[in-house]
Amino acid sequence: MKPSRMLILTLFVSVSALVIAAPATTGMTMGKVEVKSAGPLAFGPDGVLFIGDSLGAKVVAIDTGDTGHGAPASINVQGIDGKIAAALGTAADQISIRDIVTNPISKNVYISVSRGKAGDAKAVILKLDTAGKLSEVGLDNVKYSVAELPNPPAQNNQKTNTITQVRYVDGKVLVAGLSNEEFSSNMKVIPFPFAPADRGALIEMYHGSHARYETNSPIRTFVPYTIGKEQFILAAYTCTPLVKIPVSELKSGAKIQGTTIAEMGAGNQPLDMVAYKKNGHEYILMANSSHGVTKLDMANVGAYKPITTPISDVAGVPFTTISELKNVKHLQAYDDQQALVLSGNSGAMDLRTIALP
Amino acid sequence: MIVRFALAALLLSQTGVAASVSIQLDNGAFKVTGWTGPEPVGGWASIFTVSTGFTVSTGRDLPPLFGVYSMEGGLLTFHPRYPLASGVTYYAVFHPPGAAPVEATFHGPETVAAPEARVMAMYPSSPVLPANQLKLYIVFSAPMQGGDFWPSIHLIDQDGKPAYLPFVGQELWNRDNTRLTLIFDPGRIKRGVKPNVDLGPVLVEGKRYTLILDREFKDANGRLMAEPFRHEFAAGADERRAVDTALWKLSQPRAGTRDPLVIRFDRPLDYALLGDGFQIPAVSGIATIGAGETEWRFQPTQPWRAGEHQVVIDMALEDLAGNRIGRAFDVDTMTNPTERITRQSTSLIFRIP
Repeated sequence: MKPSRMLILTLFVSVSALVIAAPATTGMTMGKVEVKSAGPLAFGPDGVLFIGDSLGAKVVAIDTGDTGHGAPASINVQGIDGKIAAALGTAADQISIRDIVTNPISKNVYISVSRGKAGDAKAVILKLDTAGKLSEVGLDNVKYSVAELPNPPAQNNQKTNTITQVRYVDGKVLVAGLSNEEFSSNMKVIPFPFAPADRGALIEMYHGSHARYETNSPIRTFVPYTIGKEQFILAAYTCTPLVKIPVSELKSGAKIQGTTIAEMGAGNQPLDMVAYKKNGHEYILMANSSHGVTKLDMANVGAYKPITTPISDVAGVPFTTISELKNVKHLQAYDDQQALVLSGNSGAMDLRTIALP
Repeated sequence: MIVRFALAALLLSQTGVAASVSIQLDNGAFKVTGWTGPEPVGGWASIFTVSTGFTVSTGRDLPPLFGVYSMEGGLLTFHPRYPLASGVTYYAVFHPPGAAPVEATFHGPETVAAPEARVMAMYPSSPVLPANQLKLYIVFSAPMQGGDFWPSIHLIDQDGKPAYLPFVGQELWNRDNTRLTLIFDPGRIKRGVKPNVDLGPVLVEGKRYTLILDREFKDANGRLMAEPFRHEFAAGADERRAVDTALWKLSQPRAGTRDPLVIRFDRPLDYALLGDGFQIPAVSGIATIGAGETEWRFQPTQPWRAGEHQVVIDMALEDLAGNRIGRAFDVDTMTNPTERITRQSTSLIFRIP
């Protein structure tokens, strides 16, 4: 082999190794990132926080730099919305807590808030550290990258797409949302790190029932879940069934019909889900808009036959209601033993960790 | 913004400090006057904080405002991170080293007087909606407050009985919070899923319903509405057919006139989607939606030219029950092998004689 060819080969190998080893924050821009509305949050690798910005029609990734390993703590902040409102110089009824998420490395909690409740509300990201100190996550001088989402025309002041869930799964950012005009819905799958020209894949989600009727239906919330060796998302449509979808099917232009594994009942719109293991068993904890918190037994979920016939009783994955958890607005993973719960009504909301049931 | 200028002064004669130390609110910044000194080891925040309180009972137990401290013109100054909010009381406390604390209370700007908000309209405007109606749009006169408004919305039947969880509990606003979209629980509409099988649809054909918004549905400034809103409608038969443009009737404007082109639909279409649903390339004019959302009218700015024209129709268009062009809301795949439409638009050709 000629020496020059050897050199090229060596260089190529080193560059590949660098790409593999590069942190998720590589290629981010330093500066001010505009966030018009701070909605659903998710953590990716290396302390990267994803912020769903519905009004800005984008997902923003920021480098929190919060990568020091933190010991799991117990969190119990009574009146969290009043405290946040005070720090933002306003009244509790003038803020909305949009989402909460745990940094899996540091165990600090990140909170998205709108200061104000109308169209001119300000987007705020807060950090609650494990000692209970609240601080603002600055967006004026931060490492960031942005993925644009399909945006209604700027001259149309009426049409909006509300992002309802953002999750990082296997190098991809998954975004679910609801339109205020069109019922049918797309899911967005964006490879991360975000490439400047890559707007990701739009995936049409369908819901089938009775082995007969099929509707192009929005997915409202979902959680990554591994069954056997395959990566799935467990997703809840607005029309309540819980379905499983292999992540490998989430490809550009795909039209996907999830496999129904549970029917949660009328008016029972799932808000958040947490997957966990306890004593060797797998469970999903699900917060719902009306029916409290349910715990789903995921044993043998891979073996469940899809629900394809109309059912008048509870069918599919068995679940129980956790009666002591009331008025839960957000539910997130915290650590192996605890979940993070935001509950209560405006002016009297509590943020706390609970033992996984 | 109107900022109420306030001044609170306490004479500190009892501590032996000669000068009068006070806290002033000046153009949104809190300033300590009559005092100079070095920044303490714990930072300015250790001796000067501004916190908010809304009632006497919770007033001073709340964390201080986010903001930055600086010395400006020799005055210790605190700039809040966010502007002061109307209706909020601010407690500023300064602890001069070796002297008694100085306290002052300030109020946020006065609420700007504006007309009280009211509901202008509900869409669909038709007095009869299909029992499988999918969405309602509530149009307000002013920006409204998002968040916990659900207890202020009621759907009752003709016997006064409230509907059981009729809507998807997801708030969906337009950009300035003047239009709210309510989506009926699709699980109650879609055939063959458990909520539909167990409970049936929210709306039952032949019954009358009233949508009520209480005055407690607050505007963006937190004020009640001028009056509650009530809108009555009846539920008719389900609409399960795909929208078929072949059933629409087009008027016949003539060349040289500015007569409107009117497209009459065979059923009402979705109010919001109608707004962006039609375009006539290369012809400028004004489009309006006819009564009951059953027609689209287009008045050209210039007289029509003779010849062939086309109306481009957005495939996102839906009828009241979410049926789209060529695709029903819930397709019966036994009788209609699924066609998942990927086209963005379709068009109708018309001739101007």
